[in-house]
Amino acid sequence: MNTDTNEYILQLNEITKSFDTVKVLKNITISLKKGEILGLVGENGSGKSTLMNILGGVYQRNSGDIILNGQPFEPASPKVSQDAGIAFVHQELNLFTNLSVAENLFITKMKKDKFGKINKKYMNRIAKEKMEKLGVADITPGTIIGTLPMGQRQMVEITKSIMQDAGIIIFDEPTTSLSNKEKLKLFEIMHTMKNQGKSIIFISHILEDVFEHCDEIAVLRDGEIIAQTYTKDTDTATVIKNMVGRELTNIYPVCAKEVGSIAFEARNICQEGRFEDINFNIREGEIVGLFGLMGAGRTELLRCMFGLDPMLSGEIEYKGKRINPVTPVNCIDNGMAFITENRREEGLLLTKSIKDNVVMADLNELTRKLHFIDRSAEQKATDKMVTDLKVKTYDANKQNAGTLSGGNQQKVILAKWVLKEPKIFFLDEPTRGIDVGAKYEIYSIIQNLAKNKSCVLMVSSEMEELMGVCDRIMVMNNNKITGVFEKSEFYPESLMKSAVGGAK
Amino acid sequence: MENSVEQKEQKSKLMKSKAIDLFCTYGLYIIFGALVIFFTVQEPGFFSLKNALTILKSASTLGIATVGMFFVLIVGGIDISVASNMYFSAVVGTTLLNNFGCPLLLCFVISCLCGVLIGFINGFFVAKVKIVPFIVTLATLSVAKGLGLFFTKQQMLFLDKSSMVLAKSKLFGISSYVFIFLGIVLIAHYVLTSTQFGRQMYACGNNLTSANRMGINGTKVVFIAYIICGGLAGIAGMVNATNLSVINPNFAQGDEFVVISSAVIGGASLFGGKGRVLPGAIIGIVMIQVIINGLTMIGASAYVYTIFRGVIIFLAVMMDSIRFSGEIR
Repeated sequence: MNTDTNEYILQLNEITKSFDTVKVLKNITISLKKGEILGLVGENGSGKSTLMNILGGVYQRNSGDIILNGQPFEPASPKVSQDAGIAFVHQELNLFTNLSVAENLFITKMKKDKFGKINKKYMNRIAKEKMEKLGVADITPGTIIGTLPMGQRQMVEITKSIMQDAGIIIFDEPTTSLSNKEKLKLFEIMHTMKNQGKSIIFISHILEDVFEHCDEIAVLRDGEIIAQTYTKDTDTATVIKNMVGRELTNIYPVCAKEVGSIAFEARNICQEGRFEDINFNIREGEIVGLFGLMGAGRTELLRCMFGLDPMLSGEIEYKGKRINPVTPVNCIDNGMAFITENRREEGLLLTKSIKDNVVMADLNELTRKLHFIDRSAEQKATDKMVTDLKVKTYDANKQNAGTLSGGNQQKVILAKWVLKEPKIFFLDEPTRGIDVGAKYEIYSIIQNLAKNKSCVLMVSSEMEELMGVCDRIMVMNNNKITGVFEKSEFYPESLMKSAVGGAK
Repeated sequence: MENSVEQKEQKSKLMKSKAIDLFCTYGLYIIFGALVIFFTVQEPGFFSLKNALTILKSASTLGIATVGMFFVLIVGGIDISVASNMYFSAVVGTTLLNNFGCPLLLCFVISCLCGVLIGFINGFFVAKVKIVPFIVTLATLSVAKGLGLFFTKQQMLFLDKSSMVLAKSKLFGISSYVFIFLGIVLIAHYVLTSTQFGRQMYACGNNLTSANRMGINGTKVVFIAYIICGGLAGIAGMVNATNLSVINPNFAQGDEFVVISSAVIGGASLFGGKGRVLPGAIIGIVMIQVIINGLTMIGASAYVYTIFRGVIIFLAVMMDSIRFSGEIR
């Protein structure tokens, strides 16, 4: 048994943490072996981030032991953790777009001579070495970050974590903003690190990735570790079951609805340097999926048709009535709604109450004579939305939208638009970063929209989700629609074939 | 028929976006060139070496303050108290010179320290207390101006003759002010491009939240930027006083906008994280000074200059905003 303890680089024993009276972590015990990737999965709010923040020195635990390399370890501050060799790759990038790659890597530890002059040559050389060590050879250390594509920026962010020879690297959902190709590169790097003897904790919502790349999987639910097992000893169904605490026989809601005749039509949509002649339609009560890899132009197409980006030519029509000019205001007036992928930045006033957020888009309707807001109508509308869409809140008038979990924030955004009763919905990655349970509820909401005879156009990077929810799937590649599939033709292989451009 | 109309529409749209692009890159230079030609035609004496040297000399005083403004703009702030700061610091320096017979160099040091004090107050409230910089510096603008007026009893203050030495001194036929200005530009350039602190300033201006998360002491960096700006404004004030050899109650009035627009013309951004002191500060201030000089030479009314200043600030800030709108941070 002695050899066993030597194997572990990190052990957490019975960690507990409470905020005020709420117990967020209850007796967490997990262990990380040297040169191993540990997947940490769990619904949003299950305590993953809290646990990692304790390890990273951001929060202090209430009780429990942390053993690092066989020694008790006290992560008192982020710096203590960093110095002990624990690196954190955050979900959002912490890069300065106006500085070079090397400067970003060295920002607090630049090599200087006695006049304080920094040695750029040295920094560039070391940066290059470190990046080569990760198998990232195509980035020049002198390049300004702002000129790099997102994927390469992520590589720089990861390189940052190994600048100080960290032994443990925590990846907090690193793949959310990456294309598939970039994702592959990321996993390659993770394995390179692993082979170099580093240990990795990988937090992700995408079970496929976790199963493919992790040696062990730990499942958190409501602040407890439900299971830590070797990947080979478990399967997706078990893990999902452990995550949500119930058997999910069908993760997609079924809803009997009628698909009517063509209601929404887009004709000859052109955008300078991007789209040429895009045509499609949506039937009444139909949910159309828009699938494609990162950069295929899906989001851009939605933005263009909603007047957020310039449309060079083309027309959009609802029930024979042309929507012209294509501006956001005019689109909204004509019953269109656009729910963006970037809910924290674009869709939601984080510091305002749920109520304020829900009624925001509909203030005109709730305004009586003389432009005073009708408070009781506002309240009624909010209450209805909160119950209809099952927003989990203690008080919609008091709780700030920013304190809700991702899934509930998304529901508030949906509520905001649903209140206006639009007939055409553009949804951009409506379930991104949302846990399995909340996803199901979002799907139900979408199904209900369609049942009420709305047209829904939904962009998603998760093929399975589209196959489960949509009546029809359009596939885009390189700013063109490369394939349209009816429900009976939903095969992952053919969808993917269109998405990578080899559709024949 | 319809097709050709649509094509025309497309073409005109394309032209429009290209025109905006061109205008943002070269617009100011084109306007500048046109003005130079206009001034030369109106007053041939404008385009001469002698006048060029005059322009350089007068550009140097506000140029020093412009360098300070670069620091504040780079960390993503703004300081509109510079002109009042110049007035107040110059008043204090001059009082020492006139009433206590202090050596000129000491007066410069004290002026600089006065500026540092005001910069410290700005920095404290912006970086530590986290109040919007515009409001903080608007307050110090008023306070510094008021203090200066209080000390001078709103009277003109004539500088002691000993200060004339500096104003008249020349090196290779060029006013020594120009060398003070260039020296400060070089030091600032070194600090901003070749020290860790300088690079961290750019980092803070780009994304302060990330900077703090990365272990940069963002509060300290921003704080120091305001102190540097204040100190340089203090020096600029005293330089300007020796140049004019008199301080009247509207000394440097409105110059904060000259300084800010010079910095923006020179490549700094009101959104932070951008700009190079060398050559930006020089280009910016010289361009503005050429226009001021030209207007004076052709005998335009003082109010015309005020209008010009307003238009230039507007153009500079507009271009800055257009350039920024396409950026992802």
